[in-house]
Amino acid sequence: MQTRKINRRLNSIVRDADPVASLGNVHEQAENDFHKLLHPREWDDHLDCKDSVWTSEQKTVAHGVGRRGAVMLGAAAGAVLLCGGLLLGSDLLGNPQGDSIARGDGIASEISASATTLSDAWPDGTSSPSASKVFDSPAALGAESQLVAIGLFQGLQRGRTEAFRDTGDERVSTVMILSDVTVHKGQVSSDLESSVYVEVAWGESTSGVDPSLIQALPAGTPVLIYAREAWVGNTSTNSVNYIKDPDAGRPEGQKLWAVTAAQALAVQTENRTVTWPAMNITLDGQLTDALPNGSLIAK
Amino acid sequence: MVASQDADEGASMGAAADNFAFRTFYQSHYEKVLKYALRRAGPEDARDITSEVFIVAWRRFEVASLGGLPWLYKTAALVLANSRRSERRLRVVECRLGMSAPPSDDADHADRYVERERVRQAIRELPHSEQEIIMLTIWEDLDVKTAATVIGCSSGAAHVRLHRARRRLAKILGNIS
Repeated sequence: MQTRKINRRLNSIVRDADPVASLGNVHEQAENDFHKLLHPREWDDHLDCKDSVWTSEQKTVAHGVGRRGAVMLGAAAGAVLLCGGLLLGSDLLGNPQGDSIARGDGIASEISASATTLSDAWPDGTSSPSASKVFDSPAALGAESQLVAIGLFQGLQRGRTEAFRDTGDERVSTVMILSDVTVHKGQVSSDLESSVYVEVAWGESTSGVDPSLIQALPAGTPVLIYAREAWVGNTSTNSVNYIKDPDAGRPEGQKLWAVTAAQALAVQTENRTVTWPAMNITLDGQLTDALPNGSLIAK
Repeated sequence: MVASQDADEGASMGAAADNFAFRTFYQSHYEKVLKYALRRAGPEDARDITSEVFIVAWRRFEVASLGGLPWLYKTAALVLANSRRSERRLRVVECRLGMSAPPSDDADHADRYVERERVRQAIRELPHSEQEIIMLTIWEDLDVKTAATVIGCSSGAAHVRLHRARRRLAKILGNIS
């Protein structure tokens, strides 16, 4: 009861401190700004204008949206090719195009994903407590990470389950499996056949991995990750939140990694572009440009 | 020829309908998105950020119209993150919440103004993720589940974050009961 009273009081004083509680009449400003939005053609010119307020990322996103029709057609064609091989309902879900993977240095793959399809399919919520932190450079992101590696996407599987005692809610992580990993920082198992398991997202769905995400990521697509060892979490059911199955998401004895931030997972996408699906940003370049000694990063 | 004219008219009517739907969407949400931007980026950039958000919404209207205000806030967060690259904007973002009081404060008693500044300062002292949940639930007036959608976490996690934020804020402010 006391807590409720304090919460109400807190809400009241915080609301009172809102710096823009009374904004005045913004109707005219809204109308002026709306005029620009009514003319998409003007905005196409605006996108190409070098001194515009648009950044390269926003141009990419906006142009990407314009291309969406063509991309969706491509995705539909891809889905027809894939549907026979999808392992829906199994523990490991992956797009079975692995035969065409050019093995070797971990990035020599001709396979790439569709940027728009991938971003649209990507689930909300990353596995990192610092997901909202934005790093200025790959070097800064690398400094915050224990593992920097490029590998070939093999599949996604259901990871750990976090439960919330008070509300009864649960959320489940999605684990990405990478093979043929080239490590640029840190250390993974010396067993060349072993894969790397990275927790890449958390979602409220407890039914498992979204099939549309599998369709968006062909097996063999090169993926760059900046990761830290996955947080262990409480396992005591007396805690406000706790992990029900701490060993889930990877084979026994394998280490579980988690992406460092939303910027920490990049995918090689079509037409020599790199996509950060959690941020819905696509830039021209190669994954290697996004390594700590490079300059490519989504912001 | 007739078929072509019909097709043109159909396309034109479709565009008009889109414009009407988008205009309604825009008018419904403009002020809220502007306030969101003002609270986080300051007056210099808030209008630009709001425009950028609605440009993306226009381009992706079928997604934006389904997502509504939470989608717009989420897009605004990405635009804001982008804006941090600029040094000038970075300064503004760093002093977010520290903006000068709006005109309505002019008539306020001095100690009320001081009290508001004290509360804003206390919010600034919270970790960023806790600032966000406080602002989204109290200033943006979202319920916890919708705030969780904007932040990109489960509603359970948002509840926990809000609980911690309130506890920490009460401790900083002291003697609020």
